[in-house]
Amino acid sequence: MPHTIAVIAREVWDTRDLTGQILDEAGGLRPGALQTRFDPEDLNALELALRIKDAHGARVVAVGLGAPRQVEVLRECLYRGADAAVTATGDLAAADTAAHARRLAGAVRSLGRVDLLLVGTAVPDDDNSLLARHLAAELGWPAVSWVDAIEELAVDRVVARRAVEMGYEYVETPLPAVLAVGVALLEDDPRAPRPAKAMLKLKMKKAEIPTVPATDEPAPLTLRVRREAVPPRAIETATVDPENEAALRAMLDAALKGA
Amino acid sequence: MANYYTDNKDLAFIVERVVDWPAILALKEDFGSPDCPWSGPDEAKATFVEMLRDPVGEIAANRIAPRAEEVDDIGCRFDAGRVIFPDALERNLKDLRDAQLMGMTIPRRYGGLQFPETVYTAAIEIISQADASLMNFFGLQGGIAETIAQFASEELKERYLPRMSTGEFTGAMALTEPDAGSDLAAVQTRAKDASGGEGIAARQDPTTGQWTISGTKRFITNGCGDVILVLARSEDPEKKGGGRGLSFFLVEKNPRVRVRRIEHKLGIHGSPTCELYFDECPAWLIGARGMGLARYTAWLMLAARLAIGAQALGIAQAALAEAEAYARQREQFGRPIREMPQVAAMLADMRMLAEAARAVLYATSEIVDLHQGAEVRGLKEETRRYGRLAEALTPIAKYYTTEAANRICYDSLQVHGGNGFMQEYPIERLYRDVRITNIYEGTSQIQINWAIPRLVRGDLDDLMGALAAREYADADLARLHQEVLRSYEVYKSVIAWLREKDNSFREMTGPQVIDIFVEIYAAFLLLRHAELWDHKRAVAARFIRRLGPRVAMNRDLVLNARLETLEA
Amino acid sequence: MPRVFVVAELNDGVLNDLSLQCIGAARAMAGADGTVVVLLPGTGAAAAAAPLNAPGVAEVLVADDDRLAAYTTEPYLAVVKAALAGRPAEAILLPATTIGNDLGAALAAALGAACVTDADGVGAEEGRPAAWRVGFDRKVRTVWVAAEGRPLVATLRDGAAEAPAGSGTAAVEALSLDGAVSQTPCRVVRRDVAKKTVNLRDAKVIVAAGAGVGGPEGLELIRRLATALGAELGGTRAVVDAGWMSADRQIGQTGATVRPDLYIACGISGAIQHRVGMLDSRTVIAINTDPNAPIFRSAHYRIVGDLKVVIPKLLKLLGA
Ligand SMILES: Cc1cc2nc3c(=O)[nH]c(=O)nc-3n(C[C@H](O)[C@H](O)[C@H](O)COP(=O)(O)OP(=O)(O)OC[C@H]3O[C@@H](n4cnc5c(N)ncnc54)[C@H](O)[C@@H]3O)c2cc1C
Ligand SMILES: Cc1cc2nc3c(=O)[nH]c(=O)nc-3n(C[C@H](O)[C@H](O)[C@H](O)COP(=O)(O)OP(=O)(O)OC[C@H]3O[C@@H](n4cnc5c(N)ncnc54)[C@H](O)[C@@H]3O)c2cc1C
Repeated sequence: MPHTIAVIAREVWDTRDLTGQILDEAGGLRPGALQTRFDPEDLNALELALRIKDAHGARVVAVGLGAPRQVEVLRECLYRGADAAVTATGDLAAADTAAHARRLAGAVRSLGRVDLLLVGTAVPDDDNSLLARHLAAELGWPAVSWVDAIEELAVDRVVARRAVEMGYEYVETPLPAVLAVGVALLEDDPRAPRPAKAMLKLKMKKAEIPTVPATDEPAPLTLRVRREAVPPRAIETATVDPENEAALRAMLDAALKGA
Repeated sequence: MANYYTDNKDLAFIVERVVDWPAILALKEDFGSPDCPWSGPDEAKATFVEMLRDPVGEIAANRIAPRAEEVDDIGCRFDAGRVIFPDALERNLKDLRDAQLMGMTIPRRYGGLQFPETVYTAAIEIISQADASLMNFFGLQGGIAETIAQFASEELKERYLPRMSTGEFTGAMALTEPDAGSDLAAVQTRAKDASGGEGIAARQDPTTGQWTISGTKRFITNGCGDVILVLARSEDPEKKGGGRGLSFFLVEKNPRVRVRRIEHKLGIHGSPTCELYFDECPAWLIGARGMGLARYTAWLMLAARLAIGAQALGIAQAALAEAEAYARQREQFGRPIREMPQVAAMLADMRMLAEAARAVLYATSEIVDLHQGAEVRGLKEETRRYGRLAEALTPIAKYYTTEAANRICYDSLQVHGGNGFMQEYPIERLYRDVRITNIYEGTSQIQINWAIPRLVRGDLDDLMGALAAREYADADLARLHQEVLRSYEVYKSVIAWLREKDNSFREMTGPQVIDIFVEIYAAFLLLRHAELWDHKRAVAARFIRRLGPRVAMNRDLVLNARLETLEA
Repeated sequence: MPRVFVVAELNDGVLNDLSLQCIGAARAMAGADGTVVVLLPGTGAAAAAAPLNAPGVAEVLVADDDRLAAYTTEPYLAVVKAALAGRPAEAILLPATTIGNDLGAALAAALGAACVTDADGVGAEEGRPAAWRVGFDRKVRTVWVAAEGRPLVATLRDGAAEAPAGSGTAAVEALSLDGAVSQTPCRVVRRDVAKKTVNLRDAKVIVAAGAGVGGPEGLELIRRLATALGAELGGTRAVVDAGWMSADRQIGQTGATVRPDLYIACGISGAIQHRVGMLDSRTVIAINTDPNAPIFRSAHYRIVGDLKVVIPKLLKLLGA
């Protein structure tokens, strides 16, 4: 029987190239100041799942948390080739990764047999911990972090390539297991996960995305959050015309002084 | 992340605020039928927009564009009878297939998306901005598949369309021959008959009914593809000569059609241009005998001209973006060159021209959609009316967009100075790629010849009359509209004068006459757009400030034209 | 803050020097009346533990066991739990490495502790242990404060604290493991890990390459520039992952954090994960074809252009 792969899909703040104030007086995030996006590493996790599906056949189920804010990440999973999607109820604003993990694990359990649970490794700006580890603890499954490729996949075990500081380690683990996917697929050309499929997009436009009601107690909050603005570092940037030899020379002289 | 749909504000404006989707969809969809995926036009439009964003805009910016340099550098090769694509092109094709975009206009019944031509036009523009040569796979597919869908037998449709929808099959269109380029009525595709002499091109076996084709086709884009539409002589030239003796055939790739060579060319290196040799190659007749040129090629051309126009515009958009970025960053005399008055004017003119050309292209595309919709519905009167408009407007739009795109690339390279001449800068490739657009699918001269008699006959008078009769509540726009109307009077007087002239005089002055027409048409459209988006007020104003003098100049050139050769 | 526990890290027998920064942070957190306990798990820990005996460290524990040769979560977690069993702590600090982030999160999940990974600093707030991280494009500092009754697990990024100088008086003791090293479901079947040979942290000038170099030939140009400047060569994760450069040259969140006098970024887009590793460089020159590349926001000199064109010009000016 082909594997069932669950993939966590998070909608996270797009914190690239932020301009202007993003905190209000009280230290809250100013609504409207930020946009969201599909967590890029969760997108890598989805890509990994879909590649397994392409190569070996698998059922891929995307699991999300809470109602969509700006981007319907679960629908985007369906557009790219996930077979189904479910939403866990939960409060995204309560920024405790452990609490998120409990809700998501409940949704994963509701899917019946799941062989692999994939999730991005990165800890988004708003999260405090590595979601994969907390999921593994909730489910009682083994987990491997920083996975960026699958070496071998059998009925009951997987060998994952884990990126570490100075290279790679190949880790074998029995299934079911949680794999935290890192900066996966970086060697691909180009380094971008697959886009939507047009026909699927038509078909899945109105697909039902069931909500899994929470059945167990919410995890107690382990921490409180406070945010404060960081004054911008003032860097004065001088543009140097590469065609202008004198300017290049002046730049080198100034930069190398004291170096 | 970059996205070639959402980043192109003008295109998004046209698609989301200008195109009359309800009108197109009223003819092209049956809302409420089980086959129709949408409950109404709003939902359909939302899907089109979404689809242009992802996958089209996404794939173009993030997967195809980064490979363009490699595709261009390596190009297609010919080895032992086989055409070999650069890896990067194979990856592009796989991405397009995976994104399920190859059957954009093919009916849903055959696995396609059945999107209107106008969505396809936008998609072609977006893909071409990333890599113009890839458009010859992506953008050729539609016209070929639509021709099959519209005119071929059910058996052929079922055999080829589903596989074209998935992209398993790509198409080619084989019209040109060594002696038949602009003059397609000269097509021969000669075959050797039993005696070894030259005979009639396409032959039908009297017992099986199977046709075979023999002869040579030249300059065939993607001639190594799987489904080739061939224009060939099927009738005895003694009885039915010229265009009336030509029929349209479908050939599936097989050992009896060989690629003999591929061309080494200035641009679009990622698109193989093949010489094809048919050796008693089995072929299937499409539609009725003798209608190959007059009906099917003509029909195919409507969509194909839009596609090339969109390709040109995509290249122009890329060139414009390169120029704007370069001029911001390059400094001379202590400041960015974009602040130099002449450079600033060039940049403004490039943008203005791109937006004017886009206005004309998408207005034309809308008409082609209405025409197709009416035809599929079997609405005789509408088909005739829209058909007349489409046949006059598509050559004009193709001419205008491709010439504008050439102009824009020329200026963009100029803005780059010496760097623009270097291979390190994308404009060098864009400048080479754009050059084909006003040549293939009919040169600019041929488009003009096609359009002129239709203007003289007044085929577009109603359309222009309606635009002229519009009223603008806004004082600035009303004043600009008055200025356009003055030029419109000039146009009418030129056409009246031309009615007295013979054909060769009309063709000779064609370029000026078409320029007069299309610039007035673009001005009318830009004024309408200015009602919807403030940015367009400045564009329309700049365009119309120059309209009067240009129209006057072109009129004077027409009035003083003389046919002569100055060869010493 | 009385009791702070540090889980130090051993990489192939070599002590990860971020462990010492963790001790520095732990001492500050513990204050005069607190205690700092350090644990070093891993094969060969006993031989490598000496530097952990820093001033103010009350106890250094080593868990030297063959079963801890390659890192997998469960046995390490079991060892840390065993060590904590008799030594409850209010805060547990680890280096923010691939191991530390994994182990820290697993530990927090097991203890029901508050967890902050990749922290830029730790301290206390209203008497509770707290850790913070600068995020949202370096615009916001988020401070997480452990809830009442819950310990804090924090992993610390390079630069979060100073490593202490001098040595202390604690004895290095072996932790009795007995049953603690549990059987592990995971197994490292193969390793492909290089020895660290360069130390970018001490370099005065760094020339760094990004994916924009396009390949090994492009990289050669960067290497020549580095040679001409007497600089170290660094790179982005993209370049390392492509196999063009060894991993010890990677700069950024999962690589080294560097603070040279001059940093020349060639063909680097400037993803935040890279920029956090070089933001404190005194002077930054960036070369990129994309005028909007985020790297330019951290650059003192902005050169919009093709590195294949620009670098030969620089080489010429340098007389190389
Ligand atoms: C890269 C490439 C790809 C192509 N792909 C295809 C393809 O896929 N399928 C296909 O069938 N063909 C294809 N063609 C052929 C293309 O359509 C023809 O080249 C084009 O129509 C012009 O024909 P020609 O080259 O024979 O030029 P000619 O017809 O010889 O024209 C030469 C010049 O004379 C001018 N001219 C000719 N007649 C007139 C006239 N009556 N009035 C005024 N000026 C005139 C032309 O405008 C041109 O300037 C391709 C060509 C190229 C270069
Ligand atoms: C959890 C996590 C940890 C990470 N850790 C790290 C880390 O430690 N270090 C790190 O570096 N990254 C890290 N990354 C990856 C990071 O997000 C980026 O993907 C990576 O830094 C991009 O590398 P790049 O700038 O080389 O490549 P790209 O983003 O592809 O940028 C290439 C740049 O080169 C420019 N360019 C192209 N051609 C030329 C030319 N001819 N001349 C000049 N410029 C040109 C392009 O405009 C572009 O800006 C991490 C990511 C995650 C999620």
